[in-house]
Amino acid sequence: MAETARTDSQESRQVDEIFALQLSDFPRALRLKQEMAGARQTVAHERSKLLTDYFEKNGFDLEHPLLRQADSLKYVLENTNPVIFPDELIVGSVTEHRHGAVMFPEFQAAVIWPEMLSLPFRKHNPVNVSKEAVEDFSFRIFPYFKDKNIHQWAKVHYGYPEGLKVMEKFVFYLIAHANGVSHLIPNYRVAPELGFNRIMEDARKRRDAITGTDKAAQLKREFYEAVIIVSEGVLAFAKNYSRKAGELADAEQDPERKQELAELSRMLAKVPAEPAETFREAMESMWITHAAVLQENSDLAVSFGRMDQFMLPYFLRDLEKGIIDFKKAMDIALCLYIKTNDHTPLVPSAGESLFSGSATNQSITLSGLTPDGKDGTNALSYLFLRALDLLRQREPNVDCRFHDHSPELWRQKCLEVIKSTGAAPALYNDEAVIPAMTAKGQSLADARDYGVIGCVETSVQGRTYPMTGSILLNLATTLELAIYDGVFPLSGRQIGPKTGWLKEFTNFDQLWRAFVAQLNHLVKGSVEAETLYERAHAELHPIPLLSAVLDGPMEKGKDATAGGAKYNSSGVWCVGLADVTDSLAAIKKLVFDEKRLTAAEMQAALEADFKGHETVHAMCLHRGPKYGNDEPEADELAVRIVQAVDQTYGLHRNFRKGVYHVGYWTMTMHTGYGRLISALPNGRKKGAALASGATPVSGAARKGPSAALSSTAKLPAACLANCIANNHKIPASILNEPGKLQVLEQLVKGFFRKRGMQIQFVIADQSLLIEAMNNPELAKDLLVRVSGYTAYFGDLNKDMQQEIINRTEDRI
Amino acid sequence: MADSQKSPGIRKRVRFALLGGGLRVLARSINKARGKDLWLDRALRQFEGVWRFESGNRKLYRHLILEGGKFRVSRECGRPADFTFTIYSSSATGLRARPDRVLEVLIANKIGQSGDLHYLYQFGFIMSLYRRTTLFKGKSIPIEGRGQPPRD
Repeated sequence: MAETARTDSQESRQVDEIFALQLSDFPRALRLKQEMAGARQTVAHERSKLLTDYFEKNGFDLEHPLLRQADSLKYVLENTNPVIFPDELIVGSVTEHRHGAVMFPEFQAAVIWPEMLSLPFRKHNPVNVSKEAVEDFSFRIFPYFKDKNIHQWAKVHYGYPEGLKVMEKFVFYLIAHANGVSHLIPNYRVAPELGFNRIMEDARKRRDAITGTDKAAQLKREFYEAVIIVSEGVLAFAKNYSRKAGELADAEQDPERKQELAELSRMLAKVPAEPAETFREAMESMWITHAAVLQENSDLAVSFGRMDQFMLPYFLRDLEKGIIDFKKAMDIALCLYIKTNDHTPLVPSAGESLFSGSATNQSITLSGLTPDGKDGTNALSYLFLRALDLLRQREPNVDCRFHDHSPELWRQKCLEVIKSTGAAPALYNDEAVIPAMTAKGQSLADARDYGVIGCVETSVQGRTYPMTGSILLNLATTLELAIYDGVFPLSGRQIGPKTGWLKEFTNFDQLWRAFVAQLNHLVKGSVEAETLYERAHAELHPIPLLSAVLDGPMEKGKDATAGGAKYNSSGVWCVGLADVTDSLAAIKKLVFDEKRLTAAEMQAALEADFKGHETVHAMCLHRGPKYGNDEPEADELAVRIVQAVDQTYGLHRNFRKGVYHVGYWTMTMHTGYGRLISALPNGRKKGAALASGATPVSGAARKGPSAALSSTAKLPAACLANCIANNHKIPASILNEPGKLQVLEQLVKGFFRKRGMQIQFVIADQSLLIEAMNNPELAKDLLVRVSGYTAYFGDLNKDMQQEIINRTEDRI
Repeated sequence: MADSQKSPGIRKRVRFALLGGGLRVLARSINKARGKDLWLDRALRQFEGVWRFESGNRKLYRHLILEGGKFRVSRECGRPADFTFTIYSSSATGLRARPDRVLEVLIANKIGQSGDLHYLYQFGFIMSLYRRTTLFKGKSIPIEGRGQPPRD
C-alpha cells in the first residue's frame, strides 16, 4: 500500500484484518440489505410532480435555459420531502421510495405510459405504482412535456433527418441521449474537499469578473448564476435532511439511534456546504451530492470513480486520531453500498428483452496507477473490495485496476472475491487502458486517473463529459446490409446504400468494401442523430449542477452540455464483433479462397435460414475460421473490423467538438438484437443470440481459454478507448479444486501481459444455472456478469439466461 | 424485397379493408366503453390525435382520429397525422391482440413508425384503459372507483 508506506507484513496484517470481517459483524447492514431486497421497485412521482408544478406556475422560459433549469432544479431540491429509513447511516434518498424508479418526463419516461396500469402485475420485474401517480403522469405530466422532451425537441427543431428515422427502427443503432445525461464520473471529490459554499463563492467571483456585454459574456454570466442557484438548492436539500434527522432524533427512544440521528443532523448541517473533516462526513457529502445530481440527470451509470483514492485522506486522518477503525469504516461503506440500490431504471416490457436485469450501474473503481505513475493500492481498496464480497449485491458495480507492478496480494484478493461472488469485480489492465486513452488525446497523468463507468467503460474521472453509452451500433445488421444490397432482411426495407448482393461478389474485397460502405452509412446516421440530441440537450436541458462538479465548466464558464468539460468525448458500444468476424472469415475462406461453395449458394442458405442447406450450414459451423482460437485468419479480421469502426468514427466530431471512443460491450443487447438478426455466415441461425462483448462466439473457441484470451488481446487498444467486455465462464466446482485459483491467476496475468484490456467472469456450474432458470428463489440472489454489468440471474429474461448457460466454459 | 412500388394486390386491399373495418369497430367500442371508466372518459375528452395506418408502399391507408371527445375512422384526414404506423407484414396484426404492446412490434421492425412518439404512447395508454373495460383486461390497476392499486 504505497500511500501509507507500510511494509509488506503490515499491509498483509491490515488486509487480513479487513478480510476477517464478516457480514454478521454488521447487523445494521444485514437489516438494511434485507429491507432493500424486500422492497419492490416503485414508480417515483415526487420529482416529476414538483418539476411540473414549477413550470406550470413559472412558465417554461425558452430564452434562458440555464436559469430555467437551475431555478426548477432548486425548486425540486428545496421541496423534496426528506426520507430517512430506520438504521440508515448514509442518508439522502434519490426518490421518495426505498427502492424507486426515477422518472424523467423531459426525457423518455413516457415510454412506460402504455403499460403503467399493468406495471404492478407484469410477470417479469413488476413495479408498483400508485393510482395517484398514474393519474398525474397521464393527465398532467406527460401531456405537459409532450413538446418539451429531448427526442421531440430534436425532431421538431432540427428537422427530422434520416439519421433519426433510422434510429427509430431500433435495430441499427440507438442513441442514449434521448434518455438523459448519464454515463460519466462527476468530480465528486469537490463536495467533501471544497463544499458548495466554496463552489458558490467561486461562481460569484467569476460572474462578477465578467465585464463584457455581448452574448458570450451574457451566457457565461448566466452559467455562473445558474451554478449559484443550484448550489443553493443542494444546500437546501441537505438542510432539509438535517432538520428531518433532528426531528427523528427528538422522537427516538433508543439512545444509540437517537445519538446516530443527532450526529446525522449535525453532519448534514455542515456537509456538503462546508468541507468534510472525517471519513463519514466525506462519504455522506459525496452521497448527498450524488442524490442531488440525480434529480437533474437520469442515473444510467453516473459513477463514483476512484473512491479508494479520494476518500483515503479522510480515512487516514481518522485512523491517526483514533476515531475510526476498519470495522467502523466498513459499517459506513456497507451503508453506502446498500444505499446505491435505492433506485433503478424503469424498463418497459419490450425493453426487458434488451436491457433486462440492469441496475443503474454506478461504478466504483479501485486501485491502479496514480496520476504520477505510482501504485495506488491502499487500505481502502481492500476495504471497498471486501464490502462487495460481504454484500454480494449487483450495485454498486465494483471494478478493479491492475498494472504491471500491482501487488500480488491485490491480485489474489480480487480473484478470491470473484470466486466468492461468482461475478464481481471486473478486472482492468492499466497497461492497455491508459494507452487507449492517450491515443485519443488525453494527457498521460489524466489517463492514469481513469475510472470505470457503468458496465465497463473507462474515462478520466471528473474531467470528462464522455456519455460512454451514447451510441449503440449493431455490427451484425451492418453485415446484413452488406450481404443484402443495403436491405434489412427482417423488414425488407432499403436502409443502406445499394452496395450489391453477396451472390454478385466475385472476391472478398468487394464484400469488405460493401461492409465498410454500410458501416460508413450507419456511422454517419448515428453521428447525425447524436449531434441533434446533444444540441437539444444544450438548448433544452443544460446541467448546471453536474457542470459544477466537473473540471472545465467552471473555468470556461460553459455548461457541460455545450462543451464545458475538459474532455468531450462520446462513447460508442458495438454489438456483434465476434459473429461478424467469423462470418466474414467464413465467406472469405469457404467462398472466395477455397471455393467450397459459391457466393450464390451461401446467399441462398442464409435466406433459407440454412433450411435445406444443411451441408452449407455444417461447413459454416465447422470449416470456417473462428475468432477465439489464436489463429490469424479470424483474429486478423477482428483487428481489421475494430480498426475500421474506429477509423470511421474518427472521421467525425461530436456536437461538443469531442472525439468518439469505440468499445465492444453489449449489456444484454446481444440477445435482444440477436432475435432480430437473420442467419449469418458463421452458421448462427436466425434469432439466436449474438456473442457478448468482445468475447468469441459461444462454442467457437475450441482451443481453450488461453487461446481465446490471446485472440482478444490482439485487438488494438488504441481502437478500444470505450473498453471491452471480455466475458468468461468458469464452473465453480473446477475453481474449488486445489490450485485452480492460482491457475486462474496465471491466466489473467498472461492476458494482461499480452496487453489484454479487460476480463470479467461468471463463476457457476452449468447445473446450478439450469436449476436457477426454473427456480426463482435460487435465481433471485444469484449474481452473474452479463456483458458489462452485474445482475441477479432471476432478473434476466430467458434469452439472456440461456445465453449465459450456453457460454463456453473455461475448464482451466 | 417486400417493399414493392407496384399497385397493391387484391389480397393486400382486402386485408387493408379489414383493418379499416377493425379500426371502426375499435373506435365504436372505445367510444362506448367510456361509460365504464372515468379515466377513459377523461382521456377521450382531454386528448386528441390522428393516427395513420398505411401499407408498406403507402398507397393504402386509414386514419384513426380522436377529436371532440370521440374516436372515428376516416380514409382522409384534413391535417397531417401525429403518428403513422406503416404495416410491412401481416404478422404486424399482433398489434390488434395487444395494442398496449406496440413498442414490441416496433422493436421487431414488423411495422414502421414515424411522427411524435408522445402520440404513440398516448394511444397505448388509451388502449390500456379500453382493454381493462373488456373481457381481455388481464391484470391491471382497477378501474376508477372499483378498488385500490397496490402500494409500497
